[in-house]
Amino acid sequence: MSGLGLIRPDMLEIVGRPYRQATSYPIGASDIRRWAAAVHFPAPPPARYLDRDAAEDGSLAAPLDFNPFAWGAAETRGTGVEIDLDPAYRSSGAMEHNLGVIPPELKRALNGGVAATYTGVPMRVGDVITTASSVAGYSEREGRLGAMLMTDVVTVWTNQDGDEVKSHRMTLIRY
Amino acid sequence: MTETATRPADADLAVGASVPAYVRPAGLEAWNRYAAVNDEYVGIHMDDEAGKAAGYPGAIGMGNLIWGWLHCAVDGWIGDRGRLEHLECRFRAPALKGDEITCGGVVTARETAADGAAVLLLDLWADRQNGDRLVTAQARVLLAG
Repeated sequence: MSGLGLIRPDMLEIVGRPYRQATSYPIGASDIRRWAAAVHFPAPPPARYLDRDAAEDGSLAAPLDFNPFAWGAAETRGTGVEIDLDPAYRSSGAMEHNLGVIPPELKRALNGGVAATYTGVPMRVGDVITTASSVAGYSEREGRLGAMLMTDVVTVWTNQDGDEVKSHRMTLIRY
Repeated sequence: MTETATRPADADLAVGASVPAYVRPAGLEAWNRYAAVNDEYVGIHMDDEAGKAAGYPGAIGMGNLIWGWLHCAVDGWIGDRGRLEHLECRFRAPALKGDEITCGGVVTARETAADGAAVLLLDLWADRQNGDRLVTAQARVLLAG
């Protein structure tokens, strides 16, 4: 048991185990174009996003921060050991219940930061992306919000050929 | 013409060089567009009352949108001379309606990767018009051979 008691042994047992996997719908040229237009607003996006030939010949690459899961996934796969999540924890970003572990008794959450490592494999029109998310680790400290639990969640993105596109890490602060 | 390691075109990649400012207005016009592509119709981003309930003056901007702007800042600067290999950031404060957000950065180091490729390390940030630092970030850019 750690100093503040937020990190339980059963939580440590799920570190590194995927708790959610999802597969996207095929990426559309319009999805890419609208994403670029929204992020660059009020300026127009770079010309490459508006190139009809690039869209049609499949060479159009999505911005690195493009999210093909924004409006849902074509398929999600559970772990088979999920337990119900108390509705009081729905805003906490809890994920432990997906692996049969009761989440820590912390109901509020903040995004402590994000990181992404890009392999150079682009997301292109027609690509289908699969993600697998797991807890990479826990830490805890006393802060201005009281006892805080930091949870590093890593999501690995791969394309339909099995090539890794990126690894995304988000630090969830629960308090 | 013989190329050298200090071509004028690459002077902006030297240690100490700045990533040109990428400036965007914060507010519902931008947030609605981003919500539409990333399905971020969250009360705190759309509704002043929800923002006030969370302790802010009103609705607040999405951290993901500033994340996107940081990508744009690096992409617009490096172009086809390299690619962003790693970006990490911490959110310190949110953007508010009417803010003008400036993303900027500086090259802090130049290294050589194990495969011989040149790597630039960057410090990046997103500030509001009064100088408040909303986001701090670090990045690695791999230069094209």
